[in-house]
Amino acid sequence: MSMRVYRLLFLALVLFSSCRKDNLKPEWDADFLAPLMTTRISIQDLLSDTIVQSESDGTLTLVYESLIGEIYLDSLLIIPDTTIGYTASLNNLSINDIIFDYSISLGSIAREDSTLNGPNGGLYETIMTAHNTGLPTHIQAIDPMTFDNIALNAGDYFQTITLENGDLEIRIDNHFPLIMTNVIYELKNSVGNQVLVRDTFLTILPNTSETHTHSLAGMTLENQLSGFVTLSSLGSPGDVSIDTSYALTAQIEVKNIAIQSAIARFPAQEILSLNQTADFANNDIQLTRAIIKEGMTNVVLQNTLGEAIHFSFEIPGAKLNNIPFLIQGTLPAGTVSNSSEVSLSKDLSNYDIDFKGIRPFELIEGDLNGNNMVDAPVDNSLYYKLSGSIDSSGNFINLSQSDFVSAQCSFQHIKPAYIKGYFGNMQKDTTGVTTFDLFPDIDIDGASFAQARLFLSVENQIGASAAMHINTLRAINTQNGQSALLSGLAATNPFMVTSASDPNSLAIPVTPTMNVLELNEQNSNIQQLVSVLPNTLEYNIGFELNPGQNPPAPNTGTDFAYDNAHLSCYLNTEIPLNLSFTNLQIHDTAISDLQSLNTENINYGNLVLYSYNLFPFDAVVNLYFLDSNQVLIDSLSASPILVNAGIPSQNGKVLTPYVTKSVVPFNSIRLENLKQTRKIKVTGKFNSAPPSQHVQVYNDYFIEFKLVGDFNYHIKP
Amino acid sequence: MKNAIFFIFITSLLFCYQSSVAQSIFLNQDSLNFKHYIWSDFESYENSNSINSRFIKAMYNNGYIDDGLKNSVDMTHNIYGISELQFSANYLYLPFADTSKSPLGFFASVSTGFIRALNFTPDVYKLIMLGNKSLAGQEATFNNSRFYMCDFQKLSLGFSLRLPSERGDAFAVIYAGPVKGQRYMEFESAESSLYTSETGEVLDLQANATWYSSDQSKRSNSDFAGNGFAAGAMLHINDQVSGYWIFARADNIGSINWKHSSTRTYIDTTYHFSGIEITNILNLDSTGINISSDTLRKIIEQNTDTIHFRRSLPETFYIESGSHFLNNKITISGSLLYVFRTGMPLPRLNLQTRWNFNRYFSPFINLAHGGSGTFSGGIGVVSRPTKNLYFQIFTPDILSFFAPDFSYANGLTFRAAWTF
Repeated sequence: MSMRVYRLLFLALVLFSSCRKDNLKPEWDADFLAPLMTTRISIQDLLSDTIVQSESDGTLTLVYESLIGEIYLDSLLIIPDTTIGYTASLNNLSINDIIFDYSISLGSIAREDSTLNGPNGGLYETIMTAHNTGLPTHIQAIDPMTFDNIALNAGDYFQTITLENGDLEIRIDNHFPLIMTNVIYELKNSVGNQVLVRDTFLTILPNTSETHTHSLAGMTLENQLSGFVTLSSLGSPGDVSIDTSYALTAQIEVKNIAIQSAIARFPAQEILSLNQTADFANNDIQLTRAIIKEGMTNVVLQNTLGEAIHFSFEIPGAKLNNIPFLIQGTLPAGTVSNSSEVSLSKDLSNYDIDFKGIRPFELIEGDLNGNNMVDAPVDNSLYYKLSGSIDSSGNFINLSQSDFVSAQCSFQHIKPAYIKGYFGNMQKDTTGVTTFDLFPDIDIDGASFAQARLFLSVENQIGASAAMHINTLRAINTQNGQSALLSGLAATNPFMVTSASDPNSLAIPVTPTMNVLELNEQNSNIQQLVSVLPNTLEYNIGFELNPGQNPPAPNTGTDFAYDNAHLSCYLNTEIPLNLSFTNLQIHDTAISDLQSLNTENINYGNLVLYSYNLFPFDAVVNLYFLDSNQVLIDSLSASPILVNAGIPSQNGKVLTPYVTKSVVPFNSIRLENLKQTRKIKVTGKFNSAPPSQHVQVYNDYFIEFKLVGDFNYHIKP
Repeated sequence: MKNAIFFIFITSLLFCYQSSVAQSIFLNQDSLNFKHYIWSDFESYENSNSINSRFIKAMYNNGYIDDGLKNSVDMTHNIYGISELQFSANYLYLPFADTSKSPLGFFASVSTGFIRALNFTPDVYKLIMLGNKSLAGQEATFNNSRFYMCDFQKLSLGFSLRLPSERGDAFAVIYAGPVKGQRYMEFESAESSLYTSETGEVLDLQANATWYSSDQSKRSNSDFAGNGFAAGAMLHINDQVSGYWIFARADNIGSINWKHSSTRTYIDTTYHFSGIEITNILNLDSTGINISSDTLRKIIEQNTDTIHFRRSLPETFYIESGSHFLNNKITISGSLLYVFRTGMPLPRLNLQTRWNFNRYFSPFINLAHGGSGTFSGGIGVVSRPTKNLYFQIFTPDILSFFAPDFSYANGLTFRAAWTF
């Protein structure tokens, strides 16, 4: 076939395809029933979920708990920031005792006599003959003879040293068979020629020794000392054997050195050792134990000594996993003008700290703080140990009175998770205003309750007894301005609150004690307070810990508190819902989104409101449609819709809801109004029925509204 | 969703169309003594067992369907309807066995078809046309309701074979070809119902339904919303001695893979609606009240998958038989037609009698019953102005013109053929 035929065929296909009438739009009207909205109002909805309690018989009790005062002890039971400091000058730094030895032999005396008097016929000859022959010989008296060649070298100990204190001890041993008399000695600095000591031993018998001690306080010693010895003798008491090696020996010892300044070599030694306590003054609280929730310890040490100091700071009474708190380290060498410093911090969290001071440790270890006794029991006291030592480097160290080593330990921002002791007679007031939403968001002209009970309950999580004072409790109805102030014994007498029990564990919550005081006609004017239908309570509540108790002996306090421990005071209300009321009004406004409603195809119709009422309350309800400026556009019904109360059966309970059908015609204009609606205001007014007669309310009562659209709809597909 | 439901319903009514009288063009030939057959068919047809022609015409005319018209629909049993709009151009080359080098001929055809079918419970009709107020206090059931819609074009090419016979002529044709999918919708519900309480306070919907839809953004004649393959076959036996013939045809055996943004929705849910529930109307605070609930739409959206799917074409089976009587003055024939996938409960039966007055004017009447419709009586005329030309025009129910309230079928069939 030719292309013309194909074209014709294709054209025909398209033409016939176009014959379909896809766009046909027939129209018709149909009647539709559509549930639009449903809501059920229970007594819980009317009075708030939290305050209505069902009883076993189905009746209801209005239970309302209003917190009217609460005191946390966190701000009171604190461990204050505390700093302890210790500065030690280093004049107690010790160096080793300095010992020199010096001797004069009998040979030396013989030679000195030979020098002075010649070798013949004199002392020299006598001594040497006796020495050589071995025959006992009598030695005649010896005239004073001076030996000025004493030279002592202390360069191994120091270069120079000024003594705060010190002794020079000279001991002379006479190994001559001679009676020595008038032994004079002198010791002086070789360079400065300052005489350090000059002394005389009057008589030293053969084979005996004599010792003299001299104070060196305030003196400066050079490392090179010189001196002389002058001696004389009465001779031997008879014939004696002579040996020229016999000697008069002297031992010179510088000891008990307290340094004022020095350039010296210091031996390894402990230069700091403290066993002291830090007091955490905390008003009249007697703290014996605390477990720390958070907090820091910071130790700052300074050193001017030219030797590194090994330090250790320990709090034996602060333990974590049974390991005592310990900070240790090495403080580098410093100078007077530029002291070295080390600052170390350590977290105290979770440490269990004993605040009973040094006594518990002294009971085991004996006196620790050097007062030669076991200290008496104390509280608020923290025992700590600070020690420091140096090694011997062999270097000469320049030490002056300006040298020091210091330690400063601070306890900062300590918040306890648990404290124990005695909390004193702490007093605290709390003042405030709290809502008392017995009928939240409801206006009510008047209500009468068949029975009402009020309780004041105090919940105590603290391990201490307390007394509560109701200084002020005023019930206020802000809507009508009425108020009443609590008076009577309940307001004047303190209410005793018992202590909680210590679970002795941070993981186990403290079970608070509940202390309940019923406010009744005998102890208060409570009915007067109830009658104002308060919505606000104004209060001033005071608490006193350990009322009437004297402080216990140290270490015996049993009060405790865990973190966030508090005392709370509640006003509990129990009102059986057997009541009558008038004009209980509710109203609320909701944002609506009805503009998306497809109402343009609705020809006409009705809104039908079905009401199912089990409450023994008459109600009048309505919905108001408002624009965005809250201006009334329309309402569900021109006049409020009456919903009759449910009718009680013979036993007084409503078993079958009263059904009310309210038909509200809607035309296209009213539907357009509905679309313009931006807010819907719901109003309702309830009156118990019969009027002025108490009616019992049960937990299964409700009123249910169902809004149904009954529309004739124009369908145009 | 609401618009979609209306669309299904309306289009299914508007396109009740069926190739009910697909008679062989060769029926009226004395014998198969030509080699070339070119013919074209245009068929527009709709019928229903419940919806009368006045109702259909009102829809065609964008008319308002008043209560009388709505209530004229027979709502005592399931409502069936089918419509088809089809155009085809065909060529058959049928060489003579004794003169041709090869006995094989060939067949070519291009066609476009638009088919709609419905099978609704009366409650579906009531819900849509009367509203659910008419069903208040009742549970309206939609069980096994079905809607089917398929628009496609196809090209068929095949072979023909003349079958020599001493008593007459016979031939067979087998053909196949590609199919262009244009538009497809299929809805089928299982156990589904809607309960409207007496007062209208409660609606309970139980829905168990499947919905297939081709990409509805691609639905014009030039769009390829899907593609597939279809085959068919024809067999004609003409006994010139006895004047008896039989013709059978199977068509649209195949499927289309619907592509692009085709969707499949499967819903098996129950939905209770008693209005927007306001938990505590006395304590609304800043709560918004939005009555324009779109819960149902959300359910549908959440259960809709955008996937390609393959669905069968509406397979059509047709068999026709008849004979000439009184020296060919009268021709009587009968046929059965069944279209699968349309929910057609039974085959459609046609009985036709034609009076062959002369070659220019051969009127016939056609009585039909069954299928998706009910009884109808149509008339038509066959004209053969020359030996090689053939024309036929037919309307399925004459009452649709004169008494549409009592007519449940209408349409027009036109056929032209040139043989040589």
